[in-house]
Amino acid sequence: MSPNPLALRHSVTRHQLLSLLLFAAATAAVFTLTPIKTDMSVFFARGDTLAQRLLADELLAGASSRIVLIGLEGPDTETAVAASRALYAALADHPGIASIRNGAQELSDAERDFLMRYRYLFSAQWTAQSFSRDGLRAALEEQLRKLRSTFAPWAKQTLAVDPLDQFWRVLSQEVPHTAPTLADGVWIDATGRLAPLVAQLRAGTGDLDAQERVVRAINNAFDIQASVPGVRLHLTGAPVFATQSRAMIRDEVTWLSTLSTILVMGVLWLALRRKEYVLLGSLPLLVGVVAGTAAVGALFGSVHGITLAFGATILGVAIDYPIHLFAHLTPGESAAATFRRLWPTLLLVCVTTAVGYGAMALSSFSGLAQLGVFAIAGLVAAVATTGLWLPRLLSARPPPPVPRWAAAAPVALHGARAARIAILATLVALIAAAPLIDPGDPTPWWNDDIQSLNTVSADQRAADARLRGALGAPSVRHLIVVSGADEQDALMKSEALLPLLETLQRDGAIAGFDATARHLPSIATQQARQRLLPEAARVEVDLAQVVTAFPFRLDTFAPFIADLKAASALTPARVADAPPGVMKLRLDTLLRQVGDQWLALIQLRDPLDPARVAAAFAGLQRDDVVALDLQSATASMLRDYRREAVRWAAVGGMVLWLVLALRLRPLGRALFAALPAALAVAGTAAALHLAGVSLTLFHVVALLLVAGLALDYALFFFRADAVPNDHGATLFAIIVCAITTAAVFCALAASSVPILTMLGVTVTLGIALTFVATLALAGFARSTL
Amino acid sequence: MKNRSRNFTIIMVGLSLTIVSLSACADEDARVLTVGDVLGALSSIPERRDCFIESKHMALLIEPLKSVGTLEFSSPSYIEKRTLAPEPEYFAAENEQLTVQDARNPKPRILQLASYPPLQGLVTAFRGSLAGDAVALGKFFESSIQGTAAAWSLSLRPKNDLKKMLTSIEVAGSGAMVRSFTVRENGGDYSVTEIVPCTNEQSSNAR
Repeated sequence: MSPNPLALRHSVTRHQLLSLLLFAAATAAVFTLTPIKTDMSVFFARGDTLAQRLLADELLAGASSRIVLIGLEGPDTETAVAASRALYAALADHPGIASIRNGAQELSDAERDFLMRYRYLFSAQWTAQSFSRDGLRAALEEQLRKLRSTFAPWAKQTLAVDPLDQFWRVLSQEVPHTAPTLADGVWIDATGRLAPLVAQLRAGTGDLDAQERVVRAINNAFDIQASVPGVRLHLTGAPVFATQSRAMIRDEVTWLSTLSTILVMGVLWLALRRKEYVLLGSLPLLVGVVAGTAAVGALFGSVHGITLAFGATILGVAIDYPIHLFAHLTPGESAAATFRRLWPTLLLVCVTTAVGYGAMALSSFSGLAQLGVFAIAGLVAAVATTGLWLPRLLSARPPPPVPRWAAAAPVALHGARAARIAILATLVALIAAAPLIDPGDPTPWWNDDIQSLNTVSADQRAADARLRGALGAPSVRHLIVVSGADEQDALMKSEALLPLLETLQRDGAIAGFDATARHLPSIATQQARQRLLPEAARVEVDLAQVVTAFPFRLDTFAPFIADLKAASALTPARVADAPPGVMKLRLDTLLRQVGDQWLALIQLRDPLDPARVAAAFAGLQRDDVVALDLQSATASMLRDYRREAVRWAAVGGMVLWLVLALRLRPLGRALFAALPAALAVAGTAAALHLAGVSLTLFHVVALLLVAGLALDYALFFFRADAVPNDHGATLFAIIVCAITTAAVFCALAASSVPILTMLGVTVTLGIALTFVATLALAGFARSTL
Repeated sequence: MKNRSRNFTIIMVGLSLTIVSLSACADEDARVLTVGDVLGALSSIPERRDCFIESKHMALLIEPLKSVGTLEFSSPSYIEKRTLAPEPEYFAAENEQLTVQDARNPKPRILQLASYPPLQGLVTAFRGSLAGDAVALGKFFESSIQGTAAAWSLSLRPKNDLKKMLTSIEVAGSGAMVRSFTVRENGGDYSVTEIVPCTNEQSSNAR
């Protein structure tokens, strides 16, 4: 009957080793081949409407995603200014920085030449009349007046070549709208101790690696060049926050998974007392993670860091399956047979949980979908591992690990009836009270503010606000995006909107705006202006006549005539013709190619009236002109996400209930099985609300997990085909499950990443309530079933 | 005998005293005039109200441009130039704030001098020299002095970006009175602002 123990052990060991090696190889393959992304906007990307695609593009590659604000704070102005100069010099030539400014950086000579050459084509401020005799006379009068003023040396600079002053008008478009005060030519804030700088990176937050390199370079440059005792460096801006967030998430994921592993193994060891159980108990979870990653990688092409972190912890529920198996092992029964005995319940648990999460996989939000797929694949793999692989790995005669007290517990459960009723009543009261009591402030039920999900600390936000205030550069929030088939098409459409924008500005609906067309008109417009230019010879004759009435020397304006001749022969300028510099950077920011379309952006300046702006552009009824409010668009995206999650959760819940009702024939039994879950979920939500926490999308997902866990405990506890004395084993298994899961999520609750904290707190609370509810109801179930 | 030696002593003493005092006087005249001397003399007058005649000589003009007006100064940081003819202009600097106004832009414009370093330099040249403020001048200019206390010429050469436009600003005066400012630009153009006492008519125009 009993085979040669040595032979058995030998063959099992060989198979064991092989299977473990295969698994290790598969893990390595999966994680090498599947890229892990950590960009929050990828997590949210949806891409249905043009507006959403534009939003995603703007968040990933737009100007706001590339600006780093630097602040150097010193004990006095001189120190701050010197530090600013040193840092500027150190970073000016860095390849990852497209531009850095610390003062009134003038346009380069190349840029000034470019604007001078094209001034008649770029400026809308002259007409054919400007070149008539009267026009010339008026111009010369103005020039003479300026020469008489104290500002004469400056006015003289372009007088000979540009008496019509078109160069200054074109130049003024390139001057930033607001500029901070200067001290010794370097920007300084109102307190006189903070010197702000602005750096624009070449890479957007879509390429976090490149951004991280540049942020590190800035820190290095500060340490080496500008670090003087007493000078502090402040760094803010989207690249800084994104790279910090990624580093934090990475660190958290690493240390949390280590901590979780240690905790789980520790609890398993304490409970099961054989290292075999401890090691094997982790196997379904590991297989689940690998399977989940592989599935998401196959379907989506990559895995998001948050999916991995959350998915791995959601699969903490997968520790439950081997625990159930180990707890129910009986002498005289092989592990495989035990599994067959538990299989109906395990199947039900697995199916219901998978259905609960599976609903999310159908969502159009890639983040939710990834989580759903990960969970389904992981759970299925975990159950399969528990049933098919673990029995083969367990040694032939495992002793049952159930302690004696657990075997005696069920009897105790029948008693304490009053206590159990009291517990249930308290729970129900808690749930009923929540909608009625507002803990104050007020606390809304839902929190859709993306800031609450941010890993940016309040300190950093304050520093960011301070730097923006010092620079007079509020973040760009309102945009009009005009799409066209090519560069000139987008440009012409943008130009066509200028009159509307100017009207809005005049009426006070917007404080101002910046459009590509203001820096560089379309070719069509340039050519139209070119055609208006008069013949240089004719102007020369008229000018000779007009000049006699003025004290100007006759040959003074020869350069003006020469330029006029040249302007008529110019080829209209394109964006590519602009010399590299501040102006080109502005053009590239406001006019770019996304996919097969060209986008021309119009940035609107605060203060503005969003309702009037929206009405004005909605009134155009054009689908190639979209008014974006970045802030409210992200907020409504989050709100949509949350609504979607709730909707799919409700669907999942209903299907789950259906499965339960079908499987557990007496409806009363199905009800009892579902009741702890319902109480736990509602109770957790109520408790959070009463504690002043507004629920977010991630609370919803966590509550889903709580429901799954509650169902698991309840189903096992109430399963009809109980072997005598089995309730002891079940109780023991449930306690161990609850403790391991609670341990893992407690660790999560201590995280500094808000999302992970939300999950941790919700699930820990949920488990506690589940446990309480299940045990309180258990007594009743037995008596009614 | 005694009388003769006593007389001799008296004469010698008297002679030496005379020589000493004469040489002292001569030292005073022969001692080199320093920038500090002139600025010290200038700083002794805290309030000035004068008129000016400005003439600008430019290469692109066939004749110089002339204008007249009033120049007010109040130590240490207020200077006001009010051009009366032919083109009215108001140009006043108080500490770091500059207010300008003319017929074309009747609403006064306010600029922060710190944001326009060349302008800051120009204003400092006028204001700093009238105030005798060596520190302020030293921040923007290298100073050198020529001439005597009765007829001195203070030459200010710009140190910062202003030197891209101006070669020097020369302040000429006598004692504590400034007679003229000459601003020389890099291209050869220059403008001379002569400080003259105001006649009654000019004073009343200024009100």
